[in-house]
Amino acid sequence: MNIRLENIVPHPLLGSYSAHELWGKEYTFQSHKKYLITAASGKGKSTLLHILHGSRTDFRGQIWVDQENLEQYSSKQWSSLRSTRLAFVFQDLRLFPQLNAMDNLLLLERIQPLKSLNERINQYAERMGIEECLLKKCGILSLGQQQRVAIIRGLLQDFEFLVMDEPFSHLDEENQAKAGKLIEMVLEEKQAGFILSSLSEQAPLSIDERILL
Amino acid sequence: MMRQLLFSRQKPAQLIGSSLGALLGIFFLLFTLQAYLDFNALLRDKSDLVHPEFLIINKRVSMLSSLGGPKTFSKEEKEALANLEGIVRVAPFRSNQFPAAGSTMPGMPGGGRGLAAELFFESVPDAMLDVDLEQFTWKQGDEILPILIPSDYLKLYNFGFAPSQGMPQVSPQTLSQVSFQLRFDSLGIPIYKQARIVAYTQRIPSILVPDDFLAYANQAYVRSEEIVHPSRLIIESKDPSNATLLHFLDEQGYESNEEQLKNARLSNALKMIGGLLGFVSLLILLLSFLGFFQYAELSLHRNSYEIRTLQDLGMPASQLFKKYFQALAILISSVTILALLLTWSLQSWLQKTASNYGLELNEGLHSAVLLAAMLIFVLFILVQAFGIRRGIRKLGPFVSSSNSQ
Repeated sequence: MNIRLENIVPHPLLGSYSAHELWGKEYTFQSHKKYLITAASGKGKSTLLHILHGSRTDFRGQIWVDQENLEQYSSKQWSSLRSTRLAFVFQDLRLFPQLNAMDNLLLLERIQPLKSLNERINQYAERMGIEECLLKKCGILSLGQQQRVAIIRGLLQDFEFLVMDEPFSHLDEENQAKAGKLIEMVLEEKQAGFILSSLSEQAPLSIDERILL
Repeated sequence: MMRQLLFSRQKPAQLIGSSLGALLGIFFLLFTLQAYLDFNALLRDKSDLVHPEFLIINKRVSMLSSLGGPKTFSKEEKEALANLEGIVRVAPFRSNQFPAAGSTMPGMPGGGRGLAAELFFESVPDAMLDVDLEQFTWKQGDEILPILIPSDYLKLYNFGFAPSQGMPQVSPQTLSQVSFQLRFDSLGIPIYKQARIVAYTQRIPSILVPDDFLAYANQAYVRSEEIVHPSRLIIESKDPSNATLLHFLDEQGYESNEEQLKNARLSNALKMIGGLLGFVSLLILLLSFLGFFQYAELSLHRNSYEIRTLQDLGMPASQLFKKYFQALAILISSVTILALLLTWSLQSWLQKTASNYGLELNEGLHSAVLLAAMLIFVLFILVQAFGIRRGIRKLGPFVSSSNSQ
């Protein structure tokens, strides 16, 4: 799956954006490639990812997924895109604090049937070092633990592109490395593309293209 | 798990409050409708207690007027009444213009000791009667002449005349078995006929025979061309207590049965109270609709984070709608069924109580009430479904701006 941006400029940046690789130009995120988008705070990293997610519509230009213009997508098509082709890990995590970590992850099955979900949850949790947190309510987990639950949730669902918005901000280097390895493994399995946004130019996994906003 | 997510921040007190509001709203409306239909059925019943559209009027008899011959109504006077607003029809009382006498037949079953008396008969058009007309018909050649007497006459006999004369009391059924012999005087020639009391009227205080019979007998037995004007009229009016009619009667010096006027006023008061209650019930129902609507909106708002996040993860809005709609449908069905049960219980109680006062209400719920309950349920569901759908869409991930950058 390729994602093509055509002349995208978020409304808040109209008239103020400087020339660079993305805003107001044509750009294609290619299938199977790993991208790192770096910028200082307030330059529109999250805005770009939210535009891809469909939760922001205040922008100029068009986005194409393969031959389909996302502008024409119905609510149902967006739901299907999010549950089967485009996985997101949000900066604000969006976990359910009243459910335990396990239920937060099992919830995916209520949206879309998934193969050997329980088995994969245990495997990923072990690799990320949070197997003991699975039965604890997310509301009482540390931010770092919550971030790892959110990463695992992103990896568990079906996708062709994985989009992560500053997913390692609360992880130490060791845990970043564990997460990086797991992400690479799953991307490899699924032969999927990857977009990572970060304040840092360093990433705990190999990157094919770097974009500076 | 989904229930834990979607209903996690609900306030039970608010749920109970809005359900109670809805229950009261639906119950009030259903009960008012049921009561209205029950009383309406009574109003349609051919009994004057609750069917006061009929008035019997005559001219006032005074010391002076008693010297001036009978007080009858001319054709013009009858027409003037018929032209008043709200009058459905005016009919004359027809009287026998030939001498008549009656006696019980001692030899017949139920004849007893036998009684004999001079009699008078009257008749009114069938439409003005409050009895089953099947037995109260006559055509030329019929052996038996059916008679109607006021139910009060039987009471007068049973509790006044019979004890004073040492005679047995009789039930309406027994009296119906007794044959009477009537003697009519047709220009000096006696004509005998058998008669039987077939029913009792509460509306007309007179001894009645079929109108067809008196029309025939007055012609056949008297053979006079003289037009006889009626001394009493029976009026069918949409509202006998209306001010115009009462004023007219007073102005013309006509008298009417006071009791019937009281009944008319009672009936009007009942209708007014019914209308008022119906209006108030509708208002309560509307308010409870709004209350419930707000409750549903508030519920969605309380769980807005969950609704939005689930949609962010790819859950279709329709799936979320289904979850909320199922819960709401169960709640509204329970409330409607409970309101129906309450209406039924109160109606049963009312029916028993009314029966002690001699008012026979229908047993069970009226089909219109069940239909109304169904309509309210469907309307409630539709309005709430619309609210939920709108609420979920509003909380969907399609927002025009976001704080995160």
